[in-house]
Amino acid sequence: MDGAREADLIRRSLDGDADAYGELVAAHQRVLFNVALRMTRNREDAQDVTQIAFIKAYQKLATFDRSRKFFSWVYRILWNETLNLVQRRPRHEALDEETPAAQSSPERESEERDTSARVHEAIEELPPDYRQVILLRHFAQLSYQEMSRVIELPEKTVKSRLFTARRLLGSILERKGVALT
Amino acid sequence: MKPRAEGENESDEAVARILDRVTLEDPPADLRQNVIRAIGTRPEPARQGWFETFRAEFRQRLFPRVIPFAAGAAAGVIVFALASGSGLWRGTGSMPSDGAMAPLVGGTGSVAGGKAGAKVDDQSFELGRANVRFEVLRSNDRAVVAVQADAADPVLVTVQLPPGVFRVERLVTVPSSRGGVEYGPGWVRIRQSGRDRAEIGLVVDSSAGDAPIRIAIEASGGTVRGALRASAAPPTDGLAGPKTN
Repeated sequence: MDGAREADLIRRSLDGDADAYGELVAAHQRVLFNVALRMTRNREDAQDVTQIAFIKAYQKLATFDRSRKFFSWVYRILWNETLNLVQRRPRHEALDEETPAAQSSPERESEERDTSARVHEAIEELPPDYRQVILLRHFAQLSYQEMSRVIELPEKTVKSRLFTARRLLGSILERKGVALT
Repeated sequence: MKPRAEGENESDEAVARILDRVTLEDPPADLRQNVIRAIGTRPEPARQGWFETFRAEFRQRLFPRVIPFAAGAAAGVIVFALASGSGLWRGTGSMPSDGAMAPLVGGTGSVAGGKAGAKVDDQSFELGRANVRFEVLRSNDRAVVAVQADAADPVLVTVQLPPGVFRVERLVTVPSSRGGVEYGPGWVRIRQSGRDRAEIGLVVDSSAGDAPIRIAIEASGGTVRGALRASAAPPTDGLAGPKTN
């Protein structure tokens, strides 16, 4: 979504146009839901957190700095909601939960889907800070500059963290039998 | 050193390539619609502190009512007003909360934001696989008790209000699909599961003095009792802090 279109939707949303806000939701829900899913490891929780993030973003839309991307802003809300949930959830429950993607099995017909499932599993094994940069870079397709704004760290730190995250992820993937070719 | 660095870069690029091939899962089909339903009742996004919004909305709701918006929604809210103006409860009743939608009133972020008046109490209670957090906010003659559950099993939260000190104006539950609400003279009982949230809006008679709001949380792990304060001063009877049966 280009900046002009997004600005128009935000302006209309501020005027109470729910359909305009619905377009913003539609544009970003997939990535945000997947971020939440990788963090919570539970589809229902991920849906709740994503919905709450969009609702809170709407309620506070008047405070949104329009020089920034809407995604970055709602992502921050989502991230805080997700951490709040994950940190407060009983540890055993978090470990017991399995997402559909995590339920990889030999009978999966598509090797590509199997790899995807293993990658998702591997991402979930990363510490949250490393998971975050992987999700932002490869799921949300953010630039380093955008990532820097979202997670409020210098670009250099973002790059370094992403490098470390990928290295850790590579180790996990190798352990899971995913060929790094 | 150079070969190692090159090896690292190759590995990094290989991981990046794999990540770029990963497919994203589709979000639930009703996610967008649930958000639209939830915001649909507010004419425009909030431009003020949530407590002010809360009060303004209350003033417009002179009679008890339930506002259903969309049955069966995965995340919903029910809003209703109780006993406005009369100083009396309207009698015992119950309200199954099956998926009505309305805007959130406040929320953790705004609660912590400081615009809503002062947070005067904040306590969390663990009970088996349930965690229930209570926050109390106060602004002049209004208070809000926010009850946030994070429970693998259902919990029953009872809030007891000293008569003559507190009068319930409003009750909001988010989402509404999993729990239910009962109320009667001086008490509100909320069934919660998952990550349900409820907010009880109160009118406070400051002249009646400080009195604690007693709470009880019942779950499969037993019962925990405690007390909340609705003013900056601690409760006078020393009940603060959980007691487990």
